[in-house]
Amino acid sequence: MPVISFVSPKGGVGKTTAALILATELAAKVGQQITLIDADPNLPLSKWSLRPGMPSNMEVIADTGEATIVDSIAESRERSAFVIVDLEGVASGRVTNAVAMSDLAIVPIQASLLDAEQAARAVSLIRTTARARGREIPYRILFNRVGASARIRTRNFKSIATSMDEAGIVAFETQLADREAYRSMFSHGGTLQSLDTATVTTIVAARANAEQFALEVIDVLRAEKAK
Amino acid sequence: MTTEKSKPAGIQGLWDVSDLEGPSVPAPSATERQSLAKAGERLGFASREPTPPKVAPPKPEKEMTARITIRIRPADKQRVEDYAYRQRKMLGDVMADFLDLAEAREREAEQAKG
Repeated sequence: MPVISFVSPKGGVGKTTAALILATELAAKVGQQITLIDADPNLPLSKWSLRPGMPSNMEVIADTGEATIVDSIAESRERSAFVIVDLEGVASGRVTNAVAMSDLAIVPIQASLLDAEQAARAVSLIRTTARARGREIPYRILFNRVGASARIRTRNFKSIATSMDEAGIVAFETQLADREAYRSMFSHGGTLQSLDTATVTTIVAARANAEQFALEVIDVLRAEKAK
Repeated sequence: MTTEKSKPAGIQGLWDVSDLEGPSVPAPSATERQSLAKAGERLGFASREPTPPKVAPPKPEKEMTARITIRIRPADKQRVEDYAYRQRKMLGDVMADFLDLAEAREREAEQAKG
C-alpha cells in the first residue's frame, strides 16, 4: 500500500541499489506482494528481474512515461503491500509526478558536496510538491555507499551530515554501506537471501544492514501515519 | 490463543505491516498535474517528454512573378513603404490595392458622365 520513491536529480548516488535492497528485503520479511517500478530509462531493475532468483512475491514494472507513472503507481498499490519507485537520475516532470503520489520519498546521497547540493534540490522539489498538493510528503536522506565501519567517517561525511542537520533535513539513522554483496545482486541476480555465502564476502553484514534499513523505513511510515 | 500468534510465522511483530494500510494518496487531477508541472519546472524539474515537431504553415503559391521598375518621388516611396508596413502587405499587394481604388474611381467618373 505505501508508495516509496527514490529521488535524486543526480545519477550514480545509488538509488537503484537502495531500491532493490529495500524491495527484496520487504519481499523476504513481510511476505506480501511487492511492486518495484523501474522508471529509469536504462531499465536496470527490469534487467535484474530477467536474471534468476527474483522472489515470487515480487514484480518489476518498467514505466518511463511522464504521465503514465501516476497510473502505474495507482494501479500497483491496489495489489501490493509496498510500491517502490526507482526514478531516473535527472530532474524531470516524471520525478515530480512520482513524488506527488508518494507516502515517503528517499533521497540517497554519497558523502560529496555535489551529491549534497543535488539532494537539496530534491528536498526543495518534495517540499514544493507537498505544498502544491496540500499534504505533507515525508522524506529522508539516505547516506549511501559509506564505509562499512561506523568508526570510519570522512570529514566530508561529517560536514555534510552536520549541514543537513542544521538545515532541518532529516536523514535515516541507518546508512547503507559500500558492499560487494549489493553489487552481486545485479551481477548474478537474486537477492541478499539467495546469494551464496561462500562466494560473496560479508553477506551476513550486508543482510543485517539491509534489514536495519527496511525496518527503519517501516518505522518512519508508522510514525508518519500516527501523526 | 491471541490474534498475533495465529498469524503465519515470519510476519509477526516488526514485519507485520497491516497497520500501514489505509486510504491511498489520491492521484492528482489534470489541473493539479499542470500546477505541479509548473512548480517542478521552476526548480528545474522540467518535462522531458518529446514534443511533436512543429509543422510549418504551407507557403503561399508564388504568384507575383512579373516585375516592374518604376521611378517615383522619394516622398511617395516613403509613403508606399510605410503603408505596406502598416498593412503588413507586400508591395505587390499594395500595388493591387491601389489599382482597385483607381479603377473604382474611374468607374465612378464614367457613371457621373452618364
